[in-house]
Amino acid sequence: MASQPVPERLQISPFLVFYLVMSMQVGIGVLGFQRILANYAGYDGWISIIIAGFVIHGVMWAIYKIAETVDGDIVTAHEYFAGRFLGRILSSVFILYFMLYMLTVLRTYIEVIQTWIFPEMGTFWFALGFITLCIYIVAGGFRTVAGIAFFGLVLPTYLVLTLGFTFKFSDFTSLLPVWDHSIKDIVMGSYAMTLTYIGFEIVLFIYPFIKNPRQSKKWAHLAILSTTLLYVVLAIITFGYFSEGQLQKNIWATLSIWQITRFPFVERFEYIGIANWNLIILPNICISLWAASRILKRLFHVQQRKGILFIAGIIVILCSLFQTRASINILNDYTGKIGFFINFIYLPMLLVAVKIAKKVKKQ
Amino acid sequence: MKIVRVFLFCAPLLLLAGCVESEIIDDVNIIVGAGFDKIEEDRFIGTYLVQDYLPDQSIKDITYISESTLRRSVLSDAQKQSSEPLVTGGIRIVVFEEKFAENGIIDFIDAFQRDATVGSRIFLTTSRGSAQELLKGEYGSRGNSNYLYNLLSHNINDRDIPESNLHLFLHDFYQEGKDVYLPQLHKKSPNQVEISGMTIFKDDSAVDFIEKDDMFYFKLLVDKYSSGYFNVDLSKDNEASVHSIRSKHHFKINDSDRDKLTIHINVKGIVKEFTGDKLTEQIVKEIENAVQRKIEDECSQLVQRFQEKGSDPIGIGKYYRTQTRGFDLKKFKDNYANLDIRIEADVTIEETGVID
Repeated sequence: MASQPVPERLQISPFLVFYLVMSMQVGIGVLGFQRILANYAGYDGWISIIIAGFVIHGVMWAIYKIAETVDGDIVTAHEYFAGRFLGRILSSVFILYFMLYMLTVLRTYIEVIQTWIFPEMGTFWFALGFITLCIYIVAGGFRTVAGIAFFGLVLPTYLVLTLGFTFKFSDFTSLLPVWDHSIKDIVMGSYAMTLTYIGFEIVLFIYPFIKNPRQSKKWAHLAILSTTLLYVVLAIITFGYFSEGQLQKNIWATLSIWQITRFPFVERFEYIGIANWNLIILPNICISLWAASRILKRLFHVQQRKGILFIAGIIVILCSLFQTRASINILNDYTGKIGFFINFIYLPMLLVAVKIAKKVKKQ
Repeated sequence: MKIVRVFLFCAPLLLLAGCVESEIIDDVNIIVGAGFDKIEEDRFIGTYLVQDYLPDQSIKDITYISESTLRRSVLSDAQKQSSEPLVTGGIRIVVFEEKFAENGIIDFIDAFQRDATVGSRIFLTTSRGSAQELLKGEYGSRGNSNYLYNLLSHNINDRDIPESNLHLFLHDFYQEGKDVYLPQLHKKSPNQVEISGMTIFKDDSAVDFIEKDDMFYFKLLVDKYSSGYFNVDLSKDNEASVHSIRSKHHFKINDSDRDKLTIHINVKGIVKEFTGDKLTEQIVKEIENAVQRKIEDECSQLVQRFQEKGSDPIGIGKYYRTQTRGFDLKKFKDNYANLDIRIEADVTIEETGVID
């Protein structure tokens, strides 16, 4: 359980938690969540997004409770209630989880480039180039990673403005009648949002690196609120722009929206948008690479630098193994399912376990 | 040591540079227009229009023609005639011959929808007479594709053609309770094209045609906001031309009888031309009433026609869907012809120009 406290010069200001959480949430799911959402909840899907947002606020509360109780990260929490050996086994699952997350994000992004811009581009080479950049960033330490999270979220915000081009061709009456779906459908829609929403659990891993962690709470919740709002706006714009049958045909609705965008100096915007998406997924990969290597270090005392290289190598190789739309779809599906289990079932259970352990220890 | 690191970091980037196929703009033929003609059952001709930029900045049109039964094979057939690879990214207009359109066009549009390089703003049209002939005309030095594109886009923005592009076509096609429509082009002479009307579809096959004189009324019915020009005859052989600056429409279902629907059309216009002595306030009122009556008459006729043909380009089904929980499209379609649809127009003449 003993882990030496993180020295202050390596810690980050509480407000940076906002950027870490939000940039980790906003990633590859945003490009195409609308279709999956509409599949379950139809054009009432925006209600599902709000419901999911509320639930995540609850989970975030639980995450802070766990971290405060054990005063440390998830590895500490696991050892707190399960002991050294079992705790390690539980924690090591999260190395795999973050690797899966990285793999999904990177491979899906490469797929987007391959369908939209360069069909012949080799998966391996792009993955290698991208991961090399991530290794470079993560090697700079956690503060550098937090900096990338900041830029990866702030710089691409202008992309939201380009959605304004749709208004001329939109018909928002498509959203009527509201509540035309059963509660079950709408809740299923919330479930389908998992892949797009996950990433907020990162707080449980970076907790020791936050200066005055109590102050960071409001930033974490604000991040979730912002993500929820962003998704609701995006969903409503998409539902107004596409008819329901049409949306079912578009795998990446957000990108298809850009096909209508036109500037005097650039005929088509997707190319700029997709290139910009590099910046959005960069923090996704960097943060999870950092988190995975950090757990590796805590559990097995591997030097973090070596851990990074090891994990990055595996990711690059795994990336090239997924070749078709169908297999990438399965990968996304499973990541969504596993993400759902870990975030919405396991983490609340962990809170209960930690609380019980605390009671027992007091006696 | 540091230099070595930087080099190691940059090395993959150099390797990556050769990874993908490059498309240099001078070394490809950009398809700017496409046309499809039916020759016999299950056989058609595809025409691809390519621009060649001449040294004096004018544009020469080149067409590649091939015959086939499958859309993709037309393109690969055309590739065999082209000295440089044909690429689809620059396409701006797709023309379907009338007879071709009667057999369904969605399979052909699928390819444009699937191709990520094709934008959503391209125009789809039908043509009276051969699409190939239409694309082969001589319409000035800016190239046929630009000519046709501009012809359509300014008529859509300021005149009587309803909003139309690939995105809107697909939106309506996949929308429950709405049918699609496309503008029709007609080659009048070797160097003249006019927009001759609107082709109305049922599912993806052409079933009806609206003459160009009725297009304004059609636009009032289908576009949420529209502007356009139209003429009215007044008493004493006077005539007035009215420019509608803003118009809006909304639907209202009768509360007690859901089979009764009223379409309210609000038009705000200005008088552009008047053949009479003096445009008094009384005559302005008369114009307003005449315009109102005319809109109600013409629009009612159009609506009745659509009901008879079983096509719903106005999106009445869609409106019912948004107003009904658990909407049943099939039931609506069976009942569509029996709906009692009334038009109520409200016309305001705001200005009469700088003279009375």
